[in-house]
Amino acid sequence: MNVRLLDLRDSDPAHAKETARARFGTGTPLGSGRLLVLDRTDLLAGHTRAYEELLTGGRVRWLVCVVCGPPVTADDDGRRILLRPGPLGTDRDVATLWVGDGDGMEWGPRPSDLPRTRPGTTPGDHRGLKDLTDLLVREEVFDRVIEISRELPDAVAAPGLSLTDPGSSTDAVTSALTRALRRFTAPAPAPDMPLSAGRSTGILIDLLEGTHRSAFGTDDPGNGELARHEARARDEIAGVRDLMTMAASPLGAAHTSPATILEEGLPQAGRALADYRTRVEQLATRVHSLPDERVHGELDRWGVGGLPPSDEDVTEALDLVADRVETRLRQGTPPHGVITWLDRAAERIAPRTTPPTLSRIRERIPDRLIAALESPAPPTPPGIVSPLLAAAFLLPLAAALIGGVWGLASGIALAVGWVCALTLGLHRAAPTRDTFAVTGAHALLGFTGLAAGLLLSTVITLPTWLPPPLAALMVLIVGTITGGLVLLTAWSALITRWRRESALDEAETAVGDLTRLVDLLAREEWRTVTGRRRLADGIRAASAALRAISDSLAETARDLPPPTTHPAELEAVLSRDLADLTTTALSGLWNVLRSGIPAQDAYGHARSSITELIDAYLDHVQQVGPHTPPDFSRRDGTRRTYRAFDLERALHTLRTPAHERMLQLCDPDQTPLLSTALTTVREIRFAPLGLRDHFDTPTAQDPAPKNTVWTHGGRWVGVLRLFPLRTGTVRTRWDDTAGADTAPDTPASPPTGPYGMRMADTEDTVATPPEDGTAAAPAHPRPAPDGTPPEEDYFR
Amino acid sequence: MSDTSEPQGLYLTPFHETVPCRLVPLPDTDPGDPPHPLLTCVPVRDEIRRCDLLLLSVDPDAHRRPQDRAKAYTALDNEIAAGTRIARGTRGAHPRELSRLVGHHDDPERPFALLEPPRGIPLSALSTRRRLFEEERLLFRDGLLRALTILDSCGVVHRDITPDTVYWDERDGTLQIRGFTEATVAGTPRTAVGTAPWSSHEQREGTGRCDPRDDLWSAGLVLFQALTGYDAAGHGVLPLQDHPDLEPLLLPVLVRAAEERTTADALFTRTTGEPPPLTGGVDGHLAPGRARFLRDRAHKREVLGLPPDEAEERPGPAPTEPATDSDPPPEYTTVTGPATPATARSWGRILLLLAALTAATVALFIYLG
Repeated sequence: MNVRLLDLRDSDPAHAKETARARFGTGTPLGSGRLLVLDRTDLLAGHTRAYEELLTGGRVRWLVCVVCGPPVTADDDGRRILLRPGPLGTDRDVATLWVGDGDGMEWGPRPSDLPRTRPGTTPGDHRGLKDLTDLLVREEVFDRVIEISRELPDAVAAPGLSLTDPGSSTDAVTSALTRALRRFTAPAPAPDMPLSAGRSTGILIDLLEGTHRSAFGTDDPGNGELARHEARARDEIAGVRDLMTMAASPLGAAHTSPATILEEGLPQAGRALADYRTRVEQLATRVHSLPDERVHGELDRWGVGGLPPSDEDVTEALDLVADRVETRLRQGTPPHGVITWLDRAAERIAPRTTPPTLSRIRERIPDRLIAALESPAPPTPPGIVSPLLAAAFLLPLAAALIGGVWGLASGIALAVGWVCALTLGLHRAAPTRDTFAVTGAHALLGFTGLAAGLLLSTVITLPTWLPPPLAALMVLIVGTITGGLVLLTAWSALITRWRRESALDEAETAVGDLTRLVDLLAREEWRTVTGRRRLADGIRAASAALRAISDSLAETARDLPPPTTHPAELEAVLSRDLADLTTTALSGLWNVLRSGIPAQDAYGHARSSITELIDAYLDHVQQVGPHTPPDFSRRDGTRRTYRAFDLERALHTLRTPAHERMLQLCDPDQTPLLSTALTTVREIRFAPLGLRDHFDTPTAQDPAPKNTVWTHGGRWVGVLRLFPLRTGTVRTRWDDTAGADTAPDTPASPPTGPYGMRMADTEDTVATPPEDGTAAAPAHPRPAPDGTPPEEDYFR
Repeated sequence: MSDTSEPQGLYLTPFHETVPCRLVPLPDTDPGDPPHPLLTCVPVRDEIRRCDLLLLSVDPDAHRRPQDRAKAYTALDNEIAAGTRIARGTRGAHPRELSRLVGHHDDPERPFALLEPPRGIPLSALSTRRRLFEEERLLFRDGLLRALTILDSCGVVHRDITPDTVYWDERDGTLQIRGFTEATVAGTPRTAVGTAPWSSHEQREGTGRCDPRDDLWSAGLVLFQALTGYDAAGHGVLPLQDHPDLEPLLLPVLVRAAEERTTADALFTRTTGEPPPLTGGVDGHLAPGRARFLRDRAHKREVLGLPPDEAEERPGPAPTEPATDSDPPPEYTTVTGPATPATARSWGRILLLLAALTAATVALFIYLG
């Protein structure tokens, strides 16, 4: 409030002067220049020096003096007057309001409005005076009183009030606040708070939202140390594969021994593969153990790609989080729900430690794969029963069909040759295996075929065009070639199958997979570790701050009385205030986090700041009222704290004509001192600013009067009637000597009528007060004589 | 007060040195909650040594019931005994991770212990305010494991490791375990101590003998709560699967039987890559002190009219050797060379067979004529 209050009702002249100098003298703080003084009629004139101090000290520009008590008796003529000191004259921005009785009476200027005690008034509690004081400390009303006083005779008036409070009682406000606090600080589940909302996002935001899907990394190992090990693994695998391919060829069968591949080639490839995996594991372990500032250098040395998120990326993510937190709070989500969301988000974004990375690496190149290469199984020879048996049987049989010794000899030669070739091939392919069963079977079947051929030759005689020796030779040649082709084909198939079973293809794929995993880890984890840590810690700090705010608000709720009854609209408005208060308390933290400064004691700092905000808000609710937005509120729109019924009542009061019966702050026997010229009566219509959107809109069905003064605080709606005093009632004294004669301020009055009754006013006795506009009074007007009879008490 | 004035008291250090002291209460200092409900904790200042301490003594209200008196004195004794053992086990290089016993006064009527004031706040209080930051998480984990290795090396089983007895100092990022009122020596017969979930079931049931791996169970739960914010006391099975980072660390810890759990040393080495801070364990030089302590305690009980300690401590067998950690499989399988081919033997058999078959065929041919 910008109106200061000074109570001189119990001060003698010296004390009053001293008080005035101490509070408003030179060197005291400059205020708004507005001062409301409470004084007494019997002391007023004696406080001349005090008022001089006030009005010459440079601290008071406008002054309203509410002087309480019955009129004093003039020394000279014994009349009842209001004796005021000279500084309160009409040539300054000073208004004097005379409260003859702090309790007041219900009264109107019409003859039919006989005075009566207001219902519910406790005599002596001076409720009317208190309400008037509450009203006059409103800057808007104060200014209007000063403005209107320039139109009033002697700048003095007797105030009357017509008030209504459309808002809730103090108990209702407290109840609503308690309930709002309890609901605001109650446990709540984590809300769904998408961050990206369709915008282009980075990995940090995707991780925060839990929507990150690992991309497929590239299998390019770069140009660093990692590439060397990867290349060696690939080269070894490719070399072994080439050897196997050669071994499977007819020429390779002679030149390339499977034993060499088995003993050297495959184990070397296995060791190279294991070495590559070990290097990657070492890299992963080392990255997690290094300080953040050395991680990128290490990754560069290994030739691992990827770019770290910039500080701007982290700030952007923090901004999004802050924005979502604020939005959720303003939408009514209790802080506990937001805290849970923040904690989970921090867990999602925090960089992972080593063990899960190692397990992922071992998934790409498992131990069994390395073991399969380092301890490879030899090629699997054909079984005892195989298609080769047919050749073993038929070749000697065909030779024996020649018959005779030549047939026998060629048959034996082919059988023995087949078995020997087969044995040679099996030993070359699988030297460690015992293949006697296979070769034995072929030997048996070969000689069985031979025997069968010999038997057949005794029964069947094949026509031959060649002599038996030549025929035998031809059979030998053809049989050898045929047998050789069969055996070579079988050899190639065996080696090819061995190559397929040796996991070389799987190993080559695994190398590529691991390289892609390294690329993925680098881009999503290792390069981002600094940014992720900063973001995770920032979110944790925000969670701690929000926890502090919620704890403080919960403690406040515990200190308030239990809720009773209150309008639901009021609770809703207060709940929104709590959300705004929370976001205001958090705003400082977000700024710190954006700057990159780690917020270690976010809980403690938030606790301090919210305590101040809570105290200020409680003070605002009590002093200013819930209808006026607090300073931290950033919401537009009407604060709908009123019920419809109360709004109707408020509007009815606001439209009360000035001549209607209302609470006049004087005694019934003081009314003769009031002016009878109703046209000089002025009124100030006022209402809290929070009601303006209800009444003062172009489309409002029931608009408020146009000259309504909208106050930024307070809870009253109503009318302040300023009733001028009869001419001669006000006398000014310029010295502080008691008992000095004073001259009346006004010139001689018009004659009286018969029986001492006043003459009728020239204007109507019941005048309609002007409704339009505010009177723009000249700076120092002197009101014209109102033509009322001289200063006499009149019987009414 | 000048140091030359007559001292008002004496206390014994863990190394049995008598030290004069003049203890003045510090009324404006918050002592925190006492480590045991039957003990009082008063912040004091030793004006001779010019240091702030915490004076731990039996709550006068505990004298009202005999069973409370016995428990109170036992709690104080445990604090003193554990502090002494740690001081001697660490040979004066007191670790920051454990609270430090400065001294004690062994008056049967008014015994007290003097401790260094706590550093930081209990984890239970910190958890209501915030989660640990990234750097703090590693420091907390390593500090807790280091504390456990030291306790193991000193043969002390804390038996009450909870978020209330584990303190975290935010300023310098260090951890401190306090509250040794339930502590005992490893190998002592277990008594029913502690509550779920912090105490292992053997400790709650009081079966077997105290084992440092009992503390490992408790510390595992405390660590999980500290790093995840999960309220271990309020829920059932820990959701380890939701925290793959912690699963390899805690699975060997949260094994039902103490004998099957890993040891603090192994866990510390595997986690940090460093050797345990204390090696060699507790020498037998503590045994005479331990025996003297037991005699003194029995004497005090007799003077106070308390019944003898139910858990009569007899030297028990050392805790069973921990189950060896299943080493990860070797990274490389041994490359074995191919077996020596039995080529000659194989050829011999084949040739023999061929010869036999040839002979048979020739015989057949001759027969057929």
